[in-house]
Amino acid sequence: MLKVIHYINQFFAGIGGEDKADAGFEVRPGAVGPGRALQAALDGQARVVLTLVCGDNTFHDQRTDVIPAALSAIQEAGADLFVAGPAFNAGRYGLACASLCAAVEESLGVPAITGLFPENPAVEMYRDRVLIVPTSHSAASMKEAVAAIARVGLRRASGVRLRPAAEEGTIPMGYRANWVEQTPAAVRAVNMLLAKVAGRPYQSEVDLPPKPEPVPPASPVADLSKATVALVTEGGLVPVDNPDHIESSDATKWARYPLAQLAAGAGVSFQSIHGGYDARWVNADPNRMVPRDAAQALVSAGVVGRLHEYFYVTVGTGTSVAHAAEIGGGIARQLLADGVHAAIVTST
Amino acid sequence: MTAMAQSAGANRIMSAGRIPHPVGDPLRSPEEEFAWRQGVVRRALETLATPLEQARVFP
Repeated sequence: MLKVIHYINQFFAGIGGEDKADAGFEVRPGAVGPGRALQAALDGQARVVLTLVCGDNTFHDQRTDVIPAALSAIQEAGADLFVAGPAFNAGRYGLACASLCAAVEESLGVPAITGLFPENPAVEMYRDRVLIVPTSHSAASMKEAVAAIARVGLRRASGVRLRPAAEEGTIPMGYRANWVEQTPAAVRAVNMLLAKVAGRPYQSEVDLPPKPEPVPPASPVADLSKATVALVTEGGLVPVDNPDHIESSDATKWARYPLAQLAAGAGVSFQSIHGGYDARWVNADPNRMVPRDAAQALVSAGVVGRLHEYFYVTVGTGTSVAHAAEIGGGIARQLLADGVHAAIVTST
Repeated sequence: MTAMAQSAGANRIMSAGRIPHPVGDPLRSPEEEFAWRQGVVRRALETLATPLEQARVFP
């Protein structure tokens, strides 16, 4: 019979609520509190041998002690599956459950699972590392949550490859696994199309990321002839030694360089380190990516007030939306701090 | 690529040159390319000065 170790906080262990959140870490034999429902849901295929208990504050204040103590208890007992929670929408408890699951999987190689409300902050932080079953926001649904954890947990512990999250009823971990499908792609695509035309439900095989929230457009520049305009690019144009080590793909960094250095004869060579396009034309003339010469001429002609003295650069290929938003925010804050009114962003 | 800019949430979007040289046109002579680029940047500046309620792809 498979051995399960269960983690719960001081509340579910019956020690007390917020006033007992500093309860210490302890190990109890057998199932405790919701562990009894878990035991029932495991349906004779696995047994809860130990329950680990820790106060929510203690876990976070002393996590460098609590996590190793939990890991050694789990290792000593020879657990086949580690279950944490479910923690529903509880903040500290949810983080404790998810971080323990990550530690158990990554340090011990023991399968681990928890149950969390999809909007629990721990989900965003750990969904790519931890198997999570979605629950409602409160313990009123304990029975359903524990049943789902037991169902998926037993499959995980048995060593079968889990099917896609939508089929397993888990929170997507954000990676794709290869499978041999009996039905060829063309047939699946046509079936999907027929279902769509007929108004029948169908499941796309490719999950698209959620659409970004619309951003209200910035106010227009009131008077171009008095405006300071910056040149920005995701085209990877950097000094040849790439001094800021911007990555060629999935960049996490941006940098700025004096616009004047782009002028022919300024003594600095630029090249594109962007991994997503053929850079030979830009390397031959950087104005094809950062239009310094044309913008400068428009300043001289009085069309625009002045150019910001730096141009800003990152690499926009294979870049996650999260990194892109961080990079964009960083550049925007610098532009605002320098009194820039508008930016032209060239994109490949 | 303007559709991609739109799906990423940009508001003032303008098509220009080609993917590997958005503000370049190596097929033109250097003088013609410079004049063309100046036109592109001028259009971009006009875009920045245009009031907008929602995302728009400028021609």
